[in-house]
Amino acid sequence: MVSNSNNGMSKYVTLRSSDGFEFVVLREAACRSGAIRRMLDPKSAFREAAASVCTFEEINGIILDKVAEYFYYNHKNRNQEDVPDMDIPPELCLELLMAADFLDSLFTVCSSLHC
Amino acid sequence: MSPPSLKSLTERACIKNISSIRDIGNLTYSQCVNVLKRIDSPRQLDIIEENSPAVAYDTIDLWKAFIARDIPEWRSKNYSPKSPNKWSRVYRKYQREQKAEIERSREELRMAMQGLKSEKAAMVSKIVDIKKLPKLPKDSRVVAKDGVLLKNTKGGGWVKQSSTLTWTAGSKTKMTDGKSVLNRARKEAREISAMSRMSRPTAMLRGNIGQITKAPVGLVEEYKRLARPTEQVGPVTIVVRKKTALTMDSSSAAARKEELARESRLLALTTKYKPTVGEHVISTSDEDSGDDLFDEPAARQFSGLKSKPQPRPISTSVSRLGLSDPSRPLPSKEKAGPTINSRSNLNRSQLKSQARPLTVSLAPTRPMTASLTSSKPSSQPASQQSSSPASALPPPPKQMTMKRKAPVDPFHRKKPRAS
Repeated sequence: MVSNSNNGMSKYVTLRSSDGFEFVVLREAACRSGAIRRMLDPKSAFREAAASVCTFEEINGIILDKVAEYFYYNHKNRNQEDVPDMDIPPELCLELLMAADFLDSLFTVCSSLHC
Repeated sequence: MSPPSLKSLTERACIKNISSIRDIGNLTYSQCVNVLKRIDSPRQLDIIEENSPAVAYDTIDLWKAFIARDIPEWRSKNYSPKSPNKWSRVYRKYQREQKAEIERSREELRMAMQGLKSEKAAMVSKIVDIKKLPKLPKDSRVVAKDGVLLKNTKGGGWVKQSSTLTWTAGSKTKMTDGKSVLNRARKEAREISAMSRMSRPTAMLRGNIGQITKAPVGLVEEYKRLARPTEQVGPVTIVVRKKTALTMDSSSAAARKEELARESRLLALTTKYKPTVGEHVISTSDEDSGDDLFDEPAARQFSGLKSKPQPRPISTSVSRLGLSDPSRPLPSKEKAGPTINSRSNLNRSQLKSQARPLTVSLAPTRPMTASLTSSKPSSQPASQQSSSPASALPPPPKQMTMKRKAPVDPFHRKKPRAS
């Protein structure tokens, strides 16, 4: 949960799915997604920012797992060129498309505001 | 270069499995535009719209693309739906109409083909029942007897006559369809027309083929050959050629002059008998050596006369048949050898005698013997010895008259020979 942080921010963040699964990922990796970055931004007024936890009500655990995997795939290969694509099983691709679209959206999304 | 975004990755994954997409759920049209554009079948799009009706309002462009792709003449009709989500119906309408048109053109083609076939079939002959054919007119040779028609044949017998035309003249052509029937009819018509005709055309008929009309060529040729005037009569003598005056170097001018005179006389003599002379001189110089020019008597005669010790004038020889050339200058006039030496012995008689063998008695003597003796050798030596300059000339012409027997036709002899 809370780990050693640099300048007040924890290194790791938690991503919580709609069905209660939690995934701990590097902050740096998770901020690939613009939505998460904004959610975790301390300057914003989101509750998530304080706790470094993001909850996604529309994304289930399986999809969020794939998303976390993507974060690491992206983080690992961030400096490399012509990396092979990540494997995505067909049954997930539509929902994953939905999640990807949500997470990568430019609009600031008022996703979850669980208090 | 960072790795591709999750969106692009997932889009690619979706397109890879596009054929199994039936429903886009909560996705909006904009979210899955890239995927939907890759759908090939309008039917699939229809299913997606059924499952996710919300997307139907946005798929106008997709449907338009399908119409443009599948219906070639959509611009002429240019349908548009009542509401934007009904574009699939527009597409279906277009499709139905197109199918109908294809069907119509196919039908037309079929009818045309049928028409052609029927036209062809009308021109082909059909096999008909034999009873429907017209009946032959009554033949006078036909007689009714015991309820059966009988025809009087050539041989004198009576043959049953059928009342209908029969096409059984013996040809082997099978009659399966109209074409073969026609073929058979043609063959039989040809046969029937040939019945009245003879096998051999009239122009080629000959009275008696075995009869001989011309004589055998071999016999004719032989007869011709024998009937020709024969050239050789006298004895054949082989003469040894002596060297001419050109090689002499010891003779004086006077001797040369006289030799020339003799030569010219000889030439005159020979030219006189030119038309009738058919002589040819055979001379050999085998026995003649270059040095023995005028010393030895070189003339040899094989005519049955003994060779005389005294130098005889070179007598010209006469060849057998076939080599006569009257215009040919006789080489005898070149023989100056013995004339030089024995010019004192030479007299006109000898000259004449020299010329004697030139005359020819042209009696056809057949057959010519190989021994080179003719039937009249005796006449020549006699003439040679007892000739006088005065009597030299008249006898030769007499001897040269041609004696020919009347040509005998072996096929039309009056009477066969008794012996």
